[in-house]
Amino acid sequence: MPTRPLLLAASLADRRATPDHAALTARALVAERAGLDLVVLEAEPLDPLLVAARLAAQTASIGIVPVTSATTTEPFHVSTALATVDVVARGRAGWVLEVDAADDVRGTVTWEVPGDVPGDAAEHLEAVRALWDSWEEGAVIRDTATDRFLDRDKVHHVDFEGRHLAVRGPSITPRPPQGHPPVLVRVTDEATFELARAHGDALLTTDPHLARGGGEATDRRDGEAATGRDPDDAAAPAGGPGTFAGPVRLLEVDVDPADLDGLAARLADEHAAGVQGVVLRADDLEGTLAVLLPALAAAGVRPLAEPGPAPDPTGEHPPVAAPPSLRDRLGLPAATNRFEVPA
Amino acid sequence: MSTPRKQVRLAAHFPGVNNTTVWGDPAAGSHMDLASFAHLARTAERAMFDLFFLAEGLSLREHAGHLHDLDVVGRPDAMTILAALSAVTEHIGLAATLTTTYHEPLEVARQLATLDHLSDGRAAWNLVTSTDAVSGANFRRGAYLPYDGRYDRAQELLALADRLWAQGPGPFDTTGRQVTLRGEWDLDTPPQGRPVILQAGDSDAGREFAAAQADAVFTRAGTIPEGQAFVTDVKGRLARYGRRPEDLLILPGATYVLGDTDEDAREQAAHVRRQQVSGPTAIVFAEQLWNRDLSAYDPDGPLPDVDPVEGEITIAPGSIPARAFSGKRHETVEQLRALAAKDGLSLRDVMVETRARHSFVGSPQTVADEIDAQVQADACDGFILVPHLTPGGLDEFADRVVPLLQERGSLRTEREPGTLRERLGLPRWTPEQGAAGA
Repeated sequence: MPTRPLLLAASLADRRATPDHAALTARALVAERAGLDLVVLEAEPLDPLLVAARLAAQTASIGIVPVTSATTTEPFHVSTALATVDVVARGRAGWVLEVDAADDVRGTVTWEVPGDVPGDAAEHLEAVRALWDSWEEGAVIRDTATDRFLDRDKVHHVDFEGRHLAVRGPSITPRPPQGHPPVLVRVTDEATFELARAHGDALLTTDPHLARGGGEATDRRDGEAATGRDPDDAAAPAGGPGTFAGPVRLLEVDVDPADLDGLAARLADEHAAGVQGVVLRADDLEGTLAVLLPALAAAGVRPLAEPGPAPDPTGEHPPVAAPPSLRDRLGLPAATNRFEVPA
Repeated sequence: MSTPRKQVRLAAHFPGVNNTTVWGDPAAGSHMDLASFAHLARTAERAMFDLFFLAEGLSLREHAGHLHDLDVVGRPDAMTILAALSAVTEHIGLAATLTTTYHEPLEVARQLATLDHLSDGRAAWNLVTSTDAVSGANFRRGAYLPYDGRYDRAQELLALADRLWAQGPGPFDTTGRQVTLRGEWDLDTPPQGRPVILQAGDSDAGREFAAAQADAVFTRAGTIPEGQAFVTDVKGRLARYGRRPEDLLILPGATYVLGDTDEDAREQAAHVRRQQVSGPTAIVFAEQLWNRDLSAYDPDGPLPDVDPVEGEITIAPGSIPARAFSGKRHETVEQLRALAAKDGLSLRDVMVETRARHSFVGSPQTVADEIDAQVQADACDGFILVPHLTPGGLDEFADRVVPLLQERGSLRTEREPGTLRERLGLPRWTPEQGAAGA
């Protein structure tokens, strides 16, 4: 079976107390011009959803993927903000969902943080997706004959009720362009791995074993019974390498600028071993890519990118052609809507 | 020696999800795409406006047990779209409405500081409180906040945000009636020190809160004497907080229809008003007043011959107009009946007459005169203008009214340097000021 090119991403973070937003923009444009698939916008100190919206307006083709905590945020606000980023990015938004340790964040929000943070996160994610579904395609009709703006039969209360949170809906924001922007779960332990396997479109991990497709032996049947996902449904993404089922696996790598050739060789090996994508954490992104990309192309891991369209500095005149969606880049099938009855 | 002429402050309100917005006009565009927001914000910026303003609603409007489907429905998250606009504008202030009830204190502090950093000092916050149960059902704590607790939450949330913005990175700890939090803050003081804060409540508690805390008040437009009375009341409260009259701007919301002549404008306004009040919308308006089902009535026929129903609001729970009629439904219906009888008006005609008035109607010269007269008479400091078309509804105002305001010296022709707060002539906020009023 032919192997897909290695997905390549950059993690952008500015952890200084006075972040340099111009530098963040410059790094995102370096990543876009180099043809990377997405940038991950780490949480804090700046709000990652707001940074994502700004970068979405300043770029034209790259995936824009903010990180938020499921533990300390409201699914309603996260759902509308991500839908908005997807609108600005015209279908290039994604989402890295993190789970905090309850003891680390208790007292930072005005609700009671539950001890079962993975369970809370699963409900958070489900509520966000339900809100994205709450508007069907074509709900806005602008029918001057009947004076109706909305087809209200196509907008739904979600009435989500979990053990930790409840959301009535519908969303205040129409369905985002991708339907469901891809959800990447950051895996830090067994519980977040199970969350990723049960609900994620992709996972991020620093563990090469997991990134290569390991971890499948851990009570697979039990895990699926517990999450309600039919094991036969856990199909590989369309066009995926097919070496394993489940979410797209992305390896997070700290870049050592002194050994970029070694990094290229390692990434080629990881790709051969089943890793589908890599998220680079590099201080000097431009310098890293200048060495890494030709080496990866030479090794047949990932071709060099063609130049894409330039960003629209006014926001008023986007190119007619829509950019590739992030779901397409990740090889994910089109999202379905739980409220749509198949014709 | 002449004193410099008082400057008109202008803000542009992106058309909202009510019947002011004419979505059926052939010129109406997307109310969701970045291009629409960018066009209106950049038009306002080119026309020397101070602010671009977004409202907030955290649930869709419902009427008679259904989602309200006659007006624009759906909008982006306000802070998120403003962050995108920070990339395609350079000077204009970016104001979002956020309720203190259903946003978390740290989230509000972080998002406003972030927008202020991203925009190099252009963030503004229209602080509102809310307690409605329909919105509450979308959040983790539900409708947790009693009506009389809403300003406790607002004050404690703002006090914490002020402290974090002022202190910069480090630990924090606060204990209040509504807000008890602790943790670690990691951002330096934002460029403005404190984002510009607008307040929109008209109640006595709201006015006092504005006098103590706000930089601007978003209020209702009225006549010059009405405006002067409001200004006297609100600005009269400033001294007890150690503030000067010029430290608080009064900005009424206003609509407008322009024409080549005053007569032409009146004709266009009549057309716009009928677009704003369709037959079905007229029935909804009547149901808000009568507080009962009137769907069997013909909007082009006479007013319903049944009595209104006082007491619990059943047909439009959560509707602000429906609540505003409480206690005076019979009296109001009698007034409308008299109006209909006098002029031979249908139900829809009556609603057009009473529910779709525009603040300014006239030629560019007339509208510029009226705006300037209000400001020079200290009935207000400027206006938050609400166009009825998305996204081109401000174009004509920018092209035809703004130059006339500039000609008479009431609107700048060049950008002053500095942050939004500095350009508005507002003092840099110190936490001690907030404490003095508490």
